[in-house]
Amino acid sequence: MTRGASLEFDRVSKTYGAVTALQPTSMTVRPGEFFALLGPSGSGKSTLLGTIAGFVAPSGGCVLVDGADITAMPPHRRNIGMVFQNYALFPYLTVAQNIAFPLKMRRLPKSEIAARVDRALEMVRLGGFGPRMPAQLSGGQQQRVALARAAVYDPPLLLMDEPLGALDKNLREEMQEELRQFHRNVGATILYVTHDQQEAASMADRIAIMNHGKAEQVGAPHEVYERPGNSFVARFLGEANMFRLRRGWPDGPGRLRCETEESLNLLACGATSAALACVRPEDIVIGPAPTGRENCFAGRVTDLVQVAGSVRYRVAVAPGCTLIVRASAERRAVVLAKDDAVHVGWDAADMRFLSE
Amino acid sequence: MDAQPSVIIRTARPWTQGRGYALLAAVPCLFLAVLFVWPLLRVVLRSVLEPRPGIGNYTKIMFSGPYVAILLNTLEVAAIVTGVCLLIAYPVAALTARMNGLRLRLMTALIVGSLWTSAVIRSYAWMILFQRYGIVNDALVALGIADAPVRILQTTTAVVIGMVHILLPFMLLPLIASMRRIDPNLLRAGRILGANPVRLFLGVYFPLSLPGVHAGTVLVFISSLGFFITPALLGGGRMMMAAMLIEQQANIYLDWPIASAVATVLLAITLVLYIAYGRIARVDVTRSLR
Repeated sequence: MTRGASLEFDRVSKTYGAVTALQPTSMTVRPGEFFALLGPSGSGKSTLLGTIAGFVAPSGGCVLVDGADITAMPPHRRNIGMVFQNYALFPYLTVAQNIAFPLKMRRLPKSEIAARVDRALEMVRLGGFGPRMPAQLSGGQQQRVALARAAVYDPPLLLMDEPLGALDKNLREEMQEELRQFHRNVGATILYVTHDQQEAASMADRIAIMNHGKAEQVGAPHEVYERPGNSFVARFLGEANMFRLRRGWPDGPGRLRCETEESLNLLACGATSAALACVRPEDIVIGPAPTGRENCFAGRVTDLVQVAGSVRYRVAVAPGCTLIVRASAERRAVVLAKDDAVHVGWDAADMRFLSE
Repeated sequence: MDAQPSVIIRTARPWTQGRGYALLAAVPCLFLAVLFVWPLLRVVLRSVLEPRPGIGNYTKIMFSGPYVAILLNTLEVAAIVTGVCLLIAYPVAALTARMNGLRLRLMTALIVGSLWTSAVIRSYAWMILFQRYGIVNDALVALGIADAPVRILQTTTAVVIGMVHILLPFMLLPLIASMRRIDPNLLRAGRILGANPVRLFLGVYFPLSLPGVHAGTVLVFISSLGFFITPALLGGGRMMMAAMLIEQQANIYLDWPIASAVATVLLAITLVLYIAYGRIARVDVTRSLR
């Protein structure tokens, strides 16, 4: 088991001519952490990853691994592991030769290379696949070879650039499980780039939400989900019903009454000058009778979609205001249909204030 | 009489794209059959049927005259030309493959454009440069490299320079094509896995460029084997290659059976080398064109 390295970005930035790919970004990844960079394409997450690998020369700032500045070091001396989206296995080498490649570059004795390759193959459950060519393997198997190759020299830091992006959905979920297991086994710090919020949330210890070349918010998945700092984070990580606030005034101890643009009256906790408030679809209760919650509205179902384990309703509560409501299977005792008159409600504590 | 009920069995074959293509291929196939395969067959037949049936022409080639030596010389020159082309073309192709936009188009135009001037004209140009009191000799003497004008024409050196000049694009183009198809992620993978620039080239870049190397090598080597004009103009008289020998036998000695036999041997050598190379390198030359 390897000791994971700490990773620190100190005002790392990248510009291509007039285009800013990455605004000055500072963040710290703890030793042994599974850290995900989550964001849409073009958000700067791959650029940030590239600065660690040494494929992208930062325009400013520096990258530190275990406190040592590696910004000027060429990639081959960094001793970092990396898994690519398209696997990047060498097509002219066998599986075993692919895994042996980094060991050969490190001039390890032949017998040790053979032993380590065997162990790496066992770890990714591909024992006996050594003599095959990569093209003879399925996508999932190739990705496991790529994992073995990236980990066989025990790098303290592993970079993964959308490693499951090319796999189909079922396999992807299986591989997520396997990657978590892999992380526990190798103990290295993992920096994982993805645009899939479910993937990031289910695997990472902490995530950084990237947008327009900067990190919008960093935190544990549930923290970021429950306390999104701004509207982008709230929308990108799960669904959110967003309200634009016109004004607010205190209403009882610790309570704030707000008026939204659609002239809805909402009760929330705390005091704020934020321009937006949101409520998660699963925090809203729906039923044919008034819900008795602090925020309660009558509406009409305009659309509903059955998804595994829950139903996703769209409920029009005011002109220009449609809420998304997710009712889990147990709350679905009363089956609602399109055009039904319904009541929706949620507690003041479920309201979150957001900046723009 | 039994009146059998008539049953119409529809035998129309379903339309496939392949049949459409087969029709399109008919004309060129006919063209090749009449104007290429048939004459080639006549050459092969003449070599064993004239002046009398048997393998007399071949034993003559094997055991008398300069034939074997000239064939070996041809193979040697072709190998040298191929090697020199590869050495010159590889770095140029590697640089070109990294270009984009205007620079790439300019480079491609230069390479393809060189094919527009005929080999005859270019070989004559080299003759003028290489002659006893030509520019090259003047320069050699002026620089003190040679005391007196040296003979460049009629040497292997002159022939190789002339042939490399003409065949270089056929090495460059497949190399550039295959280098441009190298996945940059594979090079990144090589670097992050610990390969320094030299080992990255030997362990990743070069193996990935091999399809282009194979295609270019086969194209240049096989073209060299049958080269006529350039060796005739730059090597004529002293240095002889197979195509010149065939021409000499046919046009000067009017010995068509021997000319046919030499041509057949050259064809056989080409085919054997091509097949053997394909087996050893385990490549299909057409693969690099896909």
